[in-house]
Amino acid sequence: MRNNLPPLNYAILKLFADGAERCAQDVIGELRADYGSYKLLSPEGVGEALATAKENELLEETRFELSGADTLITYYRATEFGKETIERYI
Amino acid sequence: MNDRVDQLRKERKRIFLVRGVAFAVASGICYGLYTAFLTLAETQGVWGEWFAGLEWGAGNPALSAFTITFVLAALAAGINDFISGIWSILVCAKNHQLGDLWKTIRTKPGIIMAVCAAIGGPFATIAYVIGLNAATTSGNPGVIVPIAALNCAIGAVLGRILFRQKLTGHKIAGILVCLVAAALIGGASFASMGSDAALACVFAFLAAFGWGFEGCVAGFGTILIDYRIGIAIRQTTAGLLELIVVFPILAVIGEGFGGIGELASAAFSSPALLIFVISGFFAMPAFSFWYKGNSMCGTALGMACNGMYAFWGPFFIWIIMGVLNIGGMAADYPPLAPIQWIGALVMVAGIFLIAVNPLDAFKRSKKGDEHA
Repeated sequence: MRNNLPPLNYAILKLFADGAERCAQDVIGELRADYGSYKLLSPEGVGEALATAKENELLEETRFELSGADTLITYYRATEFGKETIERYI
Repeated sequence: MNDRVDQLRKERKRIFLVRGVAFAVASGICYGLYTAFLTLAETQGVWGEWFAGLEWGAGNPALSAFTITFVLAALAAGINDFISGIWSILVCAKNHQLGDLWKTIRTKPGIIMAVCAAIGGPFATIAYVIGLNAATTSGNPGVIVPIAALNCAIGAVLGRILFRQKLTGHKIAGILVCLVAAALIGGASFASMGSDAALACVFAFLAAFGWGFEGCVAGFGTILIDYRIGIAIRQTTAGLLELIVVFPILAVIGEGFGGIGELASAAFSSPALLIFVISGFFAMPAFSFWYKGNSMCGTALGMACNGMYAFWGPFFIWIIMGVLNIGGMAADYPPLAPIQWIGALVMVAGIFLIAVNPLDAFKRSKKGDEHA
């Protein structure tokens, strides 16, 4: 992976600096062009990254949607603390 | 449709809670196994001769007391952390994260993480191993694990002093419970093991201080870095600093310049290295399962479940070295005294109190009942 892209976790968090809400699938869509070859750019990988960021209070859940009969989609946006931390350190 | 969403949310919450708690508990168990195998490794091969104060290898004179206490601790901590760093890098490789690992090291959060590892590693881990070894010499290595678990309490106090984080009632209560537990274990150990136990407890306390400080300061770095990459940076930095900087300096003080090569080559060619490979292996999930558990069941509950290592540490030292007699020295590894087991469990309760507000937990479960 010789490229100049920032680490995937930074790229995921950096997306949220604009304050908009996203679900895991949105994140994958936005990053696919650059990070398509990354193993962790998967629904599970990104889902775990978002859940961890929520636990660390960088992100907060905004709403839930139903996809099909059994799949729950969670939307997140950055908290104030999250925006500040992302701007400052990434 | 909203009903279905609510239902799925509840279901997911329940699954995440169960899985998260399982991961966090597993992390505490891995921590106990890491401590037990590290203790075991230090009894095997050339390590056994070193600690017994005997001639070692091909007629080398016995090591000085300084070397046995400090130099061997730095070497053991370094080998363990470095090997767990290699295991962590292998996990990154499996996830195709090596490129990201290299890039992260050169970013601000990566540097914060490495600087904190320098405090938590060379300082705290070496102090932990010194405590472990001193307690082994005086009769029971398990007792220092709950003392080192005080790092949760110290982290909370340092967070208050350094970052003006709020110390709410349940946290203060938890810190007090932890201190009572430490006094219980320390006092009982002192009574049964004599003054050597004091040395062990003092070093375990220093380890708790270093880890508490690391956890408190590294926070800002770690939340931005993928946890697998964070662990690889942490363990590799700590291991390399211990092996390349601290061990040689201490070895020169203890045994002169020749000591560095002699001790290192004896340690790395000893079959005991295989046991360090196992202890390093368990040190990795001790951290990574903790992060993974936190992301599922919440940091507070995750921290509380992980804190059970105050119990798992002495438990696995007793099981592996005492009951199973791996290492053939069962008589030297008795179980803890009842009062010490109680102390370990009180420590677990204290960590739980620091992490979880019992009033909140109660309110939440009542709210859940009303909804149901």
